[in-house]
Amino acid sequence: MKHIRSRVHFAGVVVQVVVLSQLLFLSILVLYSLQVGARIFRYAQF
Amino acid sequence: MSQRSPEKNASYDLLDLLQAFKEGLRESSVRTFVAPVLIAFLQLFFVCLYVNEETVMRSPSNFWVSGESDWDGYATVRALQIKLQRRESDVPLVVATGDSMMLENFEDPFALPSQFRDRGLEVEVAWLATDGQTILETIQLLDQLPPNTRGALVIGINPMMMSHGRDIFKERAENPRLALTSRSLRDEMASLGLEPAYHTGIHTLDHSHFFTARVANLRWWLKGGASPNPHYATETYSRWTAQDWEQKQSKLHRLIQPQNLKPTEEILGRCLERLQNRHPDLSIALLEASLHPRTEEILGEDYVEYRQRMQEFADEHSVAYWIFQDEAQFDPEDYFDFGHVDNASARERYQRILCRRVAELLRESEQEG
Repeated sequence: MKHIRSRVHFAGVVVQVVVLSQLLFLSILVLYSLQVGARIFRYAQF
Repeated sequence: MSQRSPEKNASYDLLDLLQAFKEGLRESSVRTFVAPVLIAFLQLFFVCLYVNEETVMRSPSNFWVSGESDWDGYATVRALQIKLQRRESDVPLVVATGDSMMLENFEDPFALPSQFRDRGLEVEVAWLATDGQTILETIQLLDQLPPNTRGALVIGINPMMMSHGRDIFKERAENPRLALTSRSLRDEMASLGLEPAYHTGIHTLDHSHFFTARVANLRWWLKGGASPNPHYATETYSRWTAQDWEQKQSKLHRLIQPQNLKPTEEILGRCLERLQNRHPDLSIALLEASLHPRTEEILGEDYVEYRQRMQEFADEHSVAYWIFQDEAQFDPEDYFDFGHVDNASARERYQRILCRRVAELLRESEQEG
């Protein structure tokens, strides 16, 4: 039982790590793209 | 001591396991801090390695199109397709570039291959016009043509595009719109005194602006991209009113002055020389945009001089200089603003003229060849 418990605990850690890493990955992309995108103007001149 | 029933025992175990899972989710330790950071950066690293010219070219044509007005995404993928897929092709290529006036004034650029087929010509068409295109994007796109490309090239020009100054070139050098590596572009930027970004050879890093600007449009990505619409601007914005004409009159007039024409004229001249050396069987034409009669009136003598100067420029570089204005017979009512046309039948007429003139150009070069 203790063995299964530690495995389930580890599964929880894995889920936490995966969710946090994806949030970090997406936030790096989105923050950088917002910073870049804000400087690009599209329909210019008139 | 009372014995628990097997059912109670099982439910106790399940609750205990759930508790263990929750503890795992909430664990705060070095590994739950370091691992996500490591994974996120490894993912960024692999994305950088995975997304290269080949993968961008192989993606569906509208995958990198982040909205109906995003012709930069479309032109990037199309130019890469021409660069990487056409090396062995014998079919003549018809290429068209230019700014929003090339986009707006033709009814349906995607119908061109079938319109050429109706005229007995089997050609491949690459429509590379983009909104607000400057000569820098033009050379960046045309640099992608594989050596000895056979066919016709139409470069859409107009007084506004030909009058771009150093400020707009500087803005484009800092915020490049296309994800295309071009040696000529780097050379031209250097000639303008602009610092091109450091070239790493890793596609994603060298064109990070292009990719990250598109991440911001995640909703389009999730939909699998958008279809570019040539008439996005005239369908989205409102027509010029009398007040607009009043307000923009002085700005329009400032656009054509000899000192404003020089930088683009010089870059275009070098671009034509490079194209003629690299692609001896490519017939080139400069297509002058048709302007609203009122714009012509505002520009007056300067416009007459401009057209004369462009005719001389074309003769000097042995390329055709086309103006379809008289033939197209646009009515002032056909115009949306100073030069964009929003009448579908007028645009169809204009496209038919382009099709016929390109077909003539191709036949002439075949006969000469």
